[in-house]
Amino acid sequence: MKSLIYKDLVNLKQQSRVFLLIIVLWTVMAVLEKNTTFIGGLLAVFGLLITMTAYAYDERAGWDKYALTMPVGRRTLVVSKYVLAVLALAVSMVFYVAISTAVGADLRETLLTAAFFIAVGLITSEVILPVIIRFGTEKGRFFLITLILLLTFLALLIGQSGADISIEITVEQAALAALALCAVLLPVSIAVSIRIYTRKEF
Amino acid sequence: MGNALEIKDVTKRYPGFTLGHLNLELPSGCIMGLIGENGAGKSTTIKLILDLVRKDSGQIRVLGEQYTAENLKLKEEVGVVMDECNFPECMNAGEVGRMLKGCYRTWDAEKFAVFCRQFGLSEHKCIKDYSRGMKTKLSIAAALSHGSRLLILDEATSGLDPVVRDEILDIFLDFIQDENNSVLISSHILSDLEKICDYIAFLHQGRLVFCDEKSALLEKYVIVKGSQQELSCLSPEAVKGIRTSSFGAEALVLKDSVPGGYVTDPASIEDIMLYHVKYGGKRS
Repeated sequence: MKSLIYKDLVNLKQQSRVFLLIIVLWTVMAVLEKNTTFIGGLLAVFGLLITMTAYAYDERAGWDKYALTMPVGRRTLVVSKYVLAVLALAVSMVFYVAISTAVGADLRETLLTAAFFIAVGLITSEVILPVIIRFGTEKGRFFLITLILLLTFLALLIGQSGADISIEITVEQAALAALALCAVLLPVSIAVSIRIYTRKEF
Repeated sequence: MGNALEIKDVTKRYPGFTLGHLNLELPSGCIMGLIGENGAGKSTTIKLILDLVRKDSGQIRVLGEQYTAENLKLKEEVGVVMDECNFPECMNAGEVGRMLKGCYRTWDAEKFAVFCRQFGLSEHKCIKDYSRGMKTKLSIAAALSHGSRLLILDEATSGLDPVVRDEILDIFLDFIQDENNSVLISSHILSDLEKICDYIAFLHQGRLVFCDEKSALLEKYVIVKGSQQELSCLSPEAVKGIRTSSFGAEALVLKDSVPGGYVTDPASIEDIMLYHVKYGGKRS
């Protein structure tokens, strides 16, 4: 498992330079604006992108075909990507918390926001990973974009209908709700992915 | 001493292609060459052995055991080289070594380093900057650096220059000096296989045409030369294929069925394959 994560990290090192550059640029802007929530969201998206990129690299090399001949079970290969997703999100949120506290944001609120972003990032990963494993990264990306567009469209529709659905929730409640959903989804998503992967042919 | 590999009546159906009723046995201590045209079923056979595709029926035993995704102990003992280098291309040889060290309990880092030096693989160069030959060499180095008792190689020598190929064939020969070790290799380069293989298995359109000891095969067939008329006197069952030209005809014939008085040449593995596929209208 550790070796698989190591492989993904080594693979991402080139990509990470681009990521870092963008993060630094946005950080500068966030610091100037004294508003770091946006960069939090951006970092969460990066956390998600890292997992998808890792899959894309694997796919290009035909890595799975070889990996399955190593003394590593199919289950482990699947779970390692979930671990990578959690790691990537956790690391990007450490960045976020560091930047936020540096500009003097409230620590408690920052931590709650970070937890919210981790949860949302993970929920998205939990939805997208089984799709990627089944159909490949190309279609997975397409699926993700379609999903986001659909959700936006839905939100627009609801907004236009004029229905009063505004409910007051605190950051704390949002974070807790997201974490709960994420925790429920995780075992389901892993189970589905493993099921797909054990039946897959190469 | 058992069989390193046993394939019994294995069938795999794809839309438009069926690999049918395959039977193969590779005794340990031997090298078996898998030959056949593109699309004959060589890679499918190898994927079936490695459980990368599911068989529809039949039985496969690798080193006496069932090769499944979760049989980790067996996977330690099978070294695999695919037709392309499957290591992610942003890694270098050093990183590949470190990664595999964590995957194989039997990983021999020193052996890997020695192979890398021998093959001239730079530790710091990214795989994507490797030539095709270097990628293959890296895969071979990796396959030999853990507790492999069976090597399975899919087109491992294609794309390599003759000098390197010879070097690698020597490594394979060295590997089977230990009679617990065995090799299954598929290749288009029949001269390579002729050099090192004990057994030759020939696939054609998803069907095993023959699987024989190489020396027996070379003994079994001869090329008979003569006019078309002369060749038509041979027993049709014994003639595996005829090539006619304006100068006359040549046929691949079972040696025992050739009566005296014919001009014969020894048949190479390449001849045997070509006559079966290309000039053997009767058989396919």
